[in-house]
Amino acid sequence: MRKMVNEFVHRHGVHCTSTSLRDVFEFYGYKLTEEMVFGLDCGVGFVYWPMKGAVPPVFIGGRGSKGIEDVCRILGIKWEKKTTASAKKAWQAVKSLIDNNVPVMLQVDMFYLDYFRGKTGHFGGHTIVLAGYDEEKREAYVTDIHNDKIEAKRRKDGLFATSLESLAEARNSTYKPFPPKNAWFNLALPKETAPLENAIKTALKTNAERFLNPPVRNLGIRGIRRFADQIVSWPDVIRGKICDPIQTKTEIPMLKLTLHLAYVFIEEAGTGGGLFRRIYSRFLREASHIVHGGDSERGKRIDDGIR
Amino acid sequence: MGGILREASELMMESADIWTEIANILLIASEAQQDRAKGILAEARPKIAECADIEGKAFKLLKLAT
Repeated sequence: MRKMVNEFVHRHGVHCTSTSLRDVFEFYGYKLTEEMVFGLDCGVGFVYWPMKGAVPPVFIGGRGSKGIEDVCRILGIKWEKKTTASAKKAWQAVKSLIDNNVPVMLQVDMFYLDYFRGKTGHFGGHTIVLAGYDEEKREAYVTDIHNDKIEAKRRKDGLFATSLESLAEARNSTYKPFPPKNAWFNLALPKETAPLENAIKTALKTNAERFLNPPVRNLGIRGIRRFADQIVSWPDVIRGKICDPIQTKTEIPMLKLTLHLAYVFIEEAGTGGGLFRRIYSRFLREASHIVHGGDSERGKRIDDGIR
Repeated sequence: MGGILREASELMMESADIWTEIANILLIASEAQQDRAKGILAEARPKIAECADIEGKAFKLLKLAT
């Protein structure tokens, strides 16, 4: 059996969660830019997280949100994250949604997706949208962000094909710190969401408060200052060797890997460059037009039909 | 409020550019020998602190505006 979600459109995006949500929102008739979704999700922050025994031993991140919780709360969208230990149940659940013409957001470890094989390490916090499948070809059809390493494999409809087996591996990965646990997201968009102008103001206030007054010194502005204080000591404290996470048979110094991954977490890895600050800057620019000019089209509620 | 958002937007883009510089320093350091990496990383330290200052200013503006 083959099934593709009708009227589902994927648009270019740089950050996985924002792009996935944007695509799903548009499917339900609510068109927002990726930047607006990112901003409404209180998307910018900073994480400086040393983890003894982990690879890498220090995690650098530029996000400040709680997954999709903020944007959904601020817009008044009900959502549920479902998980299961059973790969079989996980597939049956999302297959059933696709059969009912519902696109499904999935959390996956991108390492296992066919079009990323050999091009990335493990990251189980990656988000894609399942938009169809073909059981005879044993393929799933999913969205993914723009990435020069994989663009040659993008289909004409903007989706990527990955085998059902690789998708199951990606969903069932146990790699820490973000094992996906076969997660998928159920979203219920209301007939009316919060007016966009109000939503923007709420998101700005929340994001600013979190960034300026983080609960611990590893987050927000305190985290950046801690990173500045500690970066020079990394060669003294990050020692030893580790298997390369992509070319797994090669050993490399842990410091080399940590520094390379820090580069990736700032400049690549779905950040849009500049540790997500470029995408947030564009959100602020777009928001300035809406709160200033009261853009009636962009500020409207969802009232033109829910599928 | 629109003016404040535009100012914050410019600050955030300024910070983005510095983060890109920082990332490139980290990449260069990743290719260096362990004993040379320390000197290279010292170049990143003031730039990271500068990002904290710029973003602190941007978010204080946004907090005041809302």
